[in-house]
Amino acid sequence: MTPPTRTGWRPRRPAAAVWLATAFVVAAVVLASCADEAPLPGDPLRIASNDLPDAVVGEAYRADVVAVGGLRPYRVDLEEGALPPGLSLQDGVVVGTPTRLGAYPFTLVVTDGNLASTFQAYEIRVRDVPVPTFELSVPDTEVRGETVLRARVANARTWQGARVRLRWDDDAVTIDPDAVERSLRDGVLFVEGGDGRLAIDVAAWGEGVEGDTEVFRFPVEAASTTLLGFDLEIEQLYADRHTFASRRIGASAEDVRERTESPTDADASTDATQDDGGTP
Amino acid sequence: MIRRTAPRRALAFATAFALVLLVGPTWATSVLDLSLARLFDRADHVVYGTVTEVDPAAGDDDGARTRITLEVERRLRVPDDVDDPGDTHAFTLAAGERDGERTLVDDLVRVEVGDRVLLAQYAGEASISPIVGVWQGLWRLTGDGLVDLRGGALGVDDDLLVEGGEETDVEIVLDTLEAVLDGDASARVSSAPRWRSDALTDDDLFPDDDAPAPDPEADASPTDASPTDASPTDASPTDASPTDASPTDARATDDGTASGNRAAPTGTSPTDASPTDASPTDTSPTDASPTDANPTDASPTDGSPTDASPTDASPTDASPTDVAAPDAPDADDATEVRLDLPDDPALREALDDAIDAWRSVGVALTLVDDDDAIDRVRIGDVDRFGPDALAFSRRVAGEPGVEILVRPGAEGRRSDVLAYELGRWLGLEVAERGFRSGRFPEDGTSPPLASDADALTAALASAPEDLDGDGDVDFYDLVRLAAEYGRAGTRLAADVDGSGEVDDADVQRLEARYTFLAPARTPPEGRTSGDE
Repeated sequence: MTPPTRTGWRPRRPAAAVWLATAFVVAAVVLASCADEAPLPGDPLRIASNDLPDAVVGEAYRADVVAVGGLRPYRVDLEEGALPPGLSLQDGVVVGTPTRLGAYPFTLVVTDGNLASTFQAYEIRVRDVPVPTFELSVPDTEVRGETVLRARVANARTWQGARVRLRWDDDAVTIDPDAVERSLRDGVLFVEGGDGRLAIDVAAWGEGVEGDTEVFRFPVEAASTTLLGFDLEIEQLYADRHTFASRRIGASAEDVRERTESPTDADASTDATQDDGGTP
Repeated sequence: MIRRTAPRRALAFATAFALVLLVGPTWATSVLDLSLARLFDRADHVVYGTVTEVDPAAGDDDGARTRITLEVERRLRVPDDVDDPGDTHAFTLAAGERDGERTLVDDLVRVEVGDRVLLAQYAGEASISPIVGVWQGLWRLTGDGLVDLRGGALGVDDDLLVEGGEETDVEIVLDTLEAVLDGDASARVSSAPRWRSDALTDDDLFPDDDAPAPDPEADASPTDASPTDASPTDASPTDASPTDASPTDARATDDGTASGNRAAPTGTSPTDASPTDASPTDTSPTDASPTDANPTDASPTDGSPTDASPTDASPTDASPTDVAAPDAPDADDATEVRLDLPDDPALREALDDAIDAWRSVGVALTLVDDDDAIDRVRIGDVDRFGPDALAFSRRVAGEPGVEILVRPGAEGRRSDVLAYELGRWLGLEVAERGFRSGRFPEDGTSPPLASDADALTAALASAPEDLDGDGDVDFYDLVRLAAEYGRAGTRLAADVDGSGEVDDADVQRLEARYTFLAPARTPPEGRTSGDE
């Protein structure tokens, strides 16, 4: 029997009902989570910024001090302590370029149109310019044949150049100094090498490099299966600073020795297979 | 094996005119040293604002000019005859691009669009630089506050506007300056001279152990007149005048001599004279023949050292009893200064005095007047100098070589100025203070001292490729060159071949002498350690 049909009413599909329910729940969650940022009329004045980000010496800094509730307009003043030298408070924004390292605690007071006020203690830490990271893309697996290694600097600030010295077991791999290629778009690269050592001096034109960039690349030729490992010494110049590091990259020298097939072994293995195959 | 990948020139051309006036970190313009009080007192305009436009092609038939426009944030002084100064402020500098060529003047201010600057400026457009003190009256806002071309920061100490003051917040500095300009008695501005300060030690001033020690009860020493100590009343220019450190006292007794027949830096060294090295601008008869570079060619009338005995060379105020004269430099070791000179007896005399001033501190130079030399000395139109410029070094569009343009008139400081300009021409490094700053006191003299002689001797001894003068052509020199790559100027340190531009040819010169040294664990001078 066919059920009676009600004029003007069509049953909703189950999928639409689920969608509506989900949307309702999501909206409720979003509203709840936004409650801090969207106070209702009549909410008391308070400062929504609990912390201010760290600063880097010599770099432009800007952080908003966000107040909510109360009656606009707000006025933000320094109540106690001192901002880091080079920073100032301008219309509720801490702005400027810090000039000295250190941790600087201070208290701000926000006053609203009702002359209600509230306080918040802060500390801005002025850190030194971070050391740029030099990375060489040495694979952690065994290699055979040609593999291209790429050298990058990351998190660079006015990075001006580096002198890089690499040493490796030249029984395992060969690197042709002539094949070292500059990737840095605006700069110059000098290279010298041979017999398991490579000297690469590279410099950037003008003000230097910001952010992350590939500096140079070069192919490594492994005659047989091997792990790659390098002794690295690097000196970098950046933002009127200097850094030196000496470390091992990739496999240890011992692992390279242990895991490297000598070409004779590889040949012998091949011959043995053939011999095996030829043995009745 | 050394291999270099081909550098790209894109950056050079892309940024060439973003840097106003294309001058590098070397200086060869001589100026009157102005205290802050004098500087602001002279200014017709005092403006703080943001650079909105830099037009290096604003010249006309009278020559290249660069026009710089500011959006004014604070106008602290306006000439009386200006009713409505408006929201913008513009001025021009006599350098820039014209017909595809560039006129470069050392020591003109460098600003870029977006820079916030404080400007003290003369009214009028006739001079090469309308900035008060040529460059001294412009400060850029940096992380260290308002900083001038030489790194001197404006600051405030106890309502006293000084160079290097503790409080560098720009609003406080501007408020203090505004109060000073308004005649508010609560604010003051330093009247201490800035050219000579704590950068000079007793060793500089009294290099001879046997020389009489300074009398602490006598006139204030230059260090007493440091900007931070100075108030308008207690550090008048008179108190700290250069006469306190008189040239007499300061004469060196060391026997430093020039390092041999180093020829002029425009390409007269034996290696420069090789056919392969010779650029079109290097091929003047002066440069082409190694024998031309022999100082024995210099006739006595050219101002050779034989014309100037050590006693002749002593400054007029040097009494023989004050210090022993330095050993007379050997004329055979004299370094040749080969220039095209004007036929002006007074200028020739001043040039001879400048050569003698160097000789008296142990550096033997020989002046050779050569009409075919591409570098030249000329006397300029006084209107081009403004009140404060004493000499400009520049490259003029369409003309080869460097022109040292000297202010007309026979002020007593002219020989000091020429000694500085010739020293710079020979590669002398600039210092923040003293003779090598290129700032000369309004009263008194400022001849080269023993430390200046050491610096010039070192410059003459080092290879042009050894940019940092440490005896090696290595990574640090490469980085220095790279930092200046694409710049143009009259005496850029990295312009190894003296072409006026830091370009691939300079990279090749560096490469030819390059040494791969091990990475250094300790930072080089001037850098701090950033431990990984």
